[in-house]
Amino acid sequence: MTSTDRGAWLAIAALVVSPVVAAICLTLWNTPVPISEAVALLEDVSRKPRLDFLVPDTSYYRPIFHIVLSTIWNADLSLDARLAAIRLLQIVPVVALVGLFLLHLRPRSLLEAGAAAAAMAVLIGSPGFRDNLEIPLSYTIVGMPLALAVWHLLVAPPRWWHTPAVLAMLVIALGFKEQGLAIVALVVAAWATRAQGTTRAQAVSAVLLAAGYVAVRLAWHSRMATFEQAIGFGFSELDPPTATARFGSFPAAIYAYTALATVANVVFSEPTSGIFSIVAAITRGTTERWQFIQLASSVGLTVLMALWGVAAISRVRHEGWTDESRSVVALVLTLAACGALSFNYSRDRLGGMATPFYALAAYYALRACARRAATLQPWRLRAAAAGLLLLAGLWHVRAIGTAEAVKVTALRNQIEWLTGLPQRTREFADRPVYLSILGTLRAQGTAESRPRPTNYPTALMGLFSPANVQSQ
Amino acid sequence: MTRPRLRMIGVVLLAPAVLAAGVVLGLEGWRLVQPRSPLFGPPETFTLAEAIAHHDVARAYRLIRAGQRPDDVIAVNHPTLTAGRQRFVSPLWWAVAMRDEHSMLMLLGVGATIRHAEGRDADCLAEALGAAAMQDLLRRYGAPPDGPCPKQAALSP
Repeated sequence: MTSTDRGAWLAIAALVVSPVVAAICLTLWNTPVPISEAVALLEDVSRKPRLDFLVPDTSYYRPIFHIVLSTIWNADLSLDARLAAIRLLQIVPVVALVGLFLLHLRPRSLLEAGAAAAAMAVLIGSPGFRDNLEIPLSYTIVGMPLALAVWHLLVAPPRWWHTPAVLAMLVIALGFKEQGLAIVALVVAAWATRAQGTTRAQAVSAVLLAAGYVAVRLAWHSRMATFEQAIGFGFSELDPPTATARFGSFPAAIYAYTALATVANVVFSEPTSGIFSIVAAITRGTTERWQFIQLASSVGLTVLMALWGVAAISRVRHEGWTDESRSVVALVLTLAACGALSFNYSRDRLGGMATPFYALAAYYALRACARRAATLQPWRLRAAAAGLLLLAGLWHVRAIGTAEAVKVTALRNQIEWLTGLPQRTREFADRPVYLSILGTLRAQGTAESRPRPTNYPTALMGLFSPANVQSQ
Repeated sequence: MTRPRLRMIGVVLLAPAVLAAGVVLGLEGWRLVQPRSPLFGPPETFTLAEAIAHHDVARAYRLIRAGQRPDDVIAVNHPTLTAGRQRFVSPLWWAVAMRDEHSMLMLLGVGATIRHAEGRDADCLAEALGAAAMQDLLRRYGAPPDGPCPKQAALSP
C-alpha cells in the first residue's frame, strides 16, 4: 500500500462525513446566542476583572473558559465580531475533533474507510457530543479534541515536546471544566499499557497536577452541596431539596447510581440525566422511532465492542499491547473518570470526554468484526454484512439527528428571545448590566433567517428526534 | 479469496455514510434553493392573524417590527370561536384563541395590552377556554384590568 493510497482513503472518509459536519457547523454559525445562561455569563465577565475567575470559590470553576469569554466580550470589536468569536469557540473544537479523529485513524483501505465513516457517525450521533453543542457552553467540546490530541501524542513515537504539550492540554481542558481530569485517565492508560510516547515521569506529573487541582478545589470550597442540580432516579427527576431529604447528606448509593447513569448513557444511550425515559416509553407503549434507533444502535455496538474488547485484551499476553488493545483501556478509564466526575448529577454532556474513545473503540471493533466476517462461510458472511449495514445505517441516522438537534436548539433560542423578554425584564429588574446585555443581544436573537429544523414528511417524522420537536 | 470479501464489507460499511451524505447534501442544497419550501418552515403567511393561526411566532414578530401595532384589532374567522363569522379582535385575544403561548408572550413583550372589552379581553378568554397556564401568564405579565369579564360574545353560537 502506498502513501498515496493512504491519503486517498482518508480523503474519502473525510468526504463522506463532511456534509453532516458542515451542516452542524453552519447551523452553529447561524444560531442566535441564547438568553439562558449566555446573558448571565456575559454579565459575569462584564462585571468581574478577568483574573478574579482564577479564584476557585464556586462549584462551577471554569477559569480559562471565563477568561477567554471575558477577552472576547470585552474586546474593542463590533458586536458581530464578538458574537462570531463566541460561535467559533464552539465550532473550531468540533472541526478539530473530527479532523483529529480521522487523522488518528488514518484509514488505509476501503474497509478501514468504511469503518472510520461508521465510527465518525458514532462520534457525531452520541449524546455526549450532541449535548455539548450548545452555544456558548463550550466547556467540554474544547476538552474533547484536546483529549484525543493527548492520546494521539501518547501512542506516537516520543518527542521532547510531547510531555509539555500533554500537560499544557491537560491544564487547558481543566481550565474549561473539571471533566478535563479525564485526560489524566488517558495518561495513566497509556503508561499502564506501555505506550511508546509515555513515561513514568509524565504519568506522575499528570497525577500530581490532578491531585493538586482537586486539593485546591476542596480547600476553597470545602462545603459542597449534596446535590448541585436536579438528579434523575429511575423514571423521575428530583430537585435538590427533595433529593437531599430522601437520600441524606452523603448518599453514597445515589452518587454511585448517578455516576453509573453517565457511563450507561455513553454506552447504551439510556438513561438520560439518570432517568430511564426510553424504558418508560416502552412500558407505556409511547416509544418513538428515534428511541428504538438510539437504544438498538447503542446496545448492538456496545455488545460488539465488549466481545472485541475481551478478545483484544486476551491477546495482549502473547502479542503485547497494540493501539487496539490500548483503546480498550483508554475507553474503560475515561468512562470511569466521566462517571466519577458526574457523581453529583448526570447529564448527557458529562459523558463527552469518553465519547471520542467510545467512537475510537467502535472503529477497531467494526474493523475486527468485518475482517472476521470475511473469513466466514457465504451465508454467515451475508448475515454479518447485513448486521454491519444495519448497525452503521442506524448510527448514520443518529448523526443526521444531531444535525437536526442543533437546528432545533437554534429555533428554541430564537423563540426564547421572542417570548422571554417580559419574564426576564421583570425577574432581573435590579440587574442593570444583565438588562443592558439583553438589550444589546435582542436584535441578533430575533433576526430573520435563523436555522429551522426540517419538517420531514409524516413517514419520516420521529426518525431523527422527537416528532413533537420536529413539528414545533 | 478474502480480499474481494473485505472489499464487499468495506462497501457495506461505507454505503450508509454515502447515503447519509447524499441526504444531507440534497436537503441542505434544497434549503438553499427553496428556503420557503414547506420542508423548512411553516407555510408563508401575510397577516398577523394568519401568522398566529399557524403558530409562526417569528413571522408574527416580523409583521410587528414592520409596523403592525400590537394592539390594533385584526380580522379573524374561526368555525367555533367566531361561529364562522368574521370578527375584529386584538392579536393577544387571537393568540389565546389559537392557544399559541409563544405568540402571546411575544405580543406582551412588544407592549400588547388587555382591556375588558369584547375581543380584547384575552385573560377572560383564557379563563373561558380553561387555559390555566395562559391565564396565569397573562395575569403575571399582561397587567389585566380589575373588574369582571364581559360576556364572551365570540364564544356564543
